[in-house]
Amino acid sequence: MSTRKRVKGVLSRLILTLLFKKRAVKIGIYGPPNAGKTTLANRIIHTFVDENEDVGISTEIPHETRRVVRRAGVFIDIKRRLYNGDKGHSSSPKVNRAKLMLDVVDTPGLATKIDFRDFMAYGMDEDEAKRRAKEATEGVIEAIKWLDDIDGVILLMDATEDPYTQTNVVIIGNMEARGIPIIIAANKIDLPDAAPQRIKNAFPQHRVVPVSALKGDNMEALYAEMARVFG
Amino acid sequence: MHKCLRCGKKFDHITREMLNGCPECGGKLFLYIRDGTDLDATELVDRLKIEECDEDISPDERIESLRIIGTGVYELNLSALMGKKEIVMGLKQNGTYAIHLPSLFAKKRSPRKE
Repeated sequence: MSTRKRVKGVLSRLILTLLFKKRAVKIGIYGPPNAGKTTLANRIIHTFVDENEDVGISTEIPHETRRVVRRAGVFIDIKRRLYNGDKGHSSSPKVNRAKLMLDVVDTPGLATKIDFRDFMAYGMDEDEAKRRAKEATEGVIEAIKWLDDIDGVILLMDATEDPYTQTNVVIIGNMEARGIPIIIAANKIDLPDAAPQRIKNAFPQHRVVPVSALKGDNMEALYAEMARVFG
Repeated sequence: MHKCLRCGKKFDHITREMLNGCPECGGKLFLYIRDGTDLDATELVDRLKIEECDEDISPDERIESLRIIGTGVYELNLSALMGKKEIVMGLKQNGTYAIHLPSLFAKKRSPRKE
């Protein structure tokens, strides 16, 4: 994509922000299958909306999320979360930027190959596995189409896996070309073989926030980064 | 020494004609054999695991955004899906394509001509 398109993308977002300052920011959670996208979306909703509300179901089976799910009107109040009870920091210049109205968009995992036989390893019969493969493929296309309507991306990567994959490289390259702000979240840092530094080394041009969406570790750093980048 | 993997003919040196294929059979796969080793062509083929066709087409050159290899097996070209509005489907590997017209016509009209 040309520089012109990139500039156009950045400018249109800037104009939109200026015109509709109170507008909710649409944040897409993207990443490969099983990175923990739905777990992260659920974590955000549990923290800021309702502990009993789920965006989707998380399982160990890849492509569990096969449709894009949007949860509108998530109000992130970092001030209360980060500086709770600490009035000494209330005059900090970051406080004003710490409130953010979001539409959280949970997306199906992006993959370059979807094979029904991979699902059969999880005990599905052939017909069900083939149906899931078809739905997962449709889900990938739907997730990509949603990019046209997204203001910012949280790219979630599994910190226990090699980050230098075709999927990650293509997503990052495309986001950069479109001028969409991006935060990389290195998920699953609660696992012993997690190596978020590997992700930082692979994509040094982006801020990488190590988190555990499942356990809630370092989530506040991610919220603060979201307020800074998307706010 | 270079050996054609199709007919097994051996060539001491690469010639200009060989750049277009084996002068005998037109085969395009050659194996370099070090001096002192000699292998039968069929044996060589058995030893080599040749990937299924289209090895000379890089993912960037592929026109299809989605390839249906079989029922329940799909190959997605993420850069094409992200970079192009239209969806072109490749069916199996026989050069048959399907163009998804709704995605093509759904393209928004640009306010200014490029």
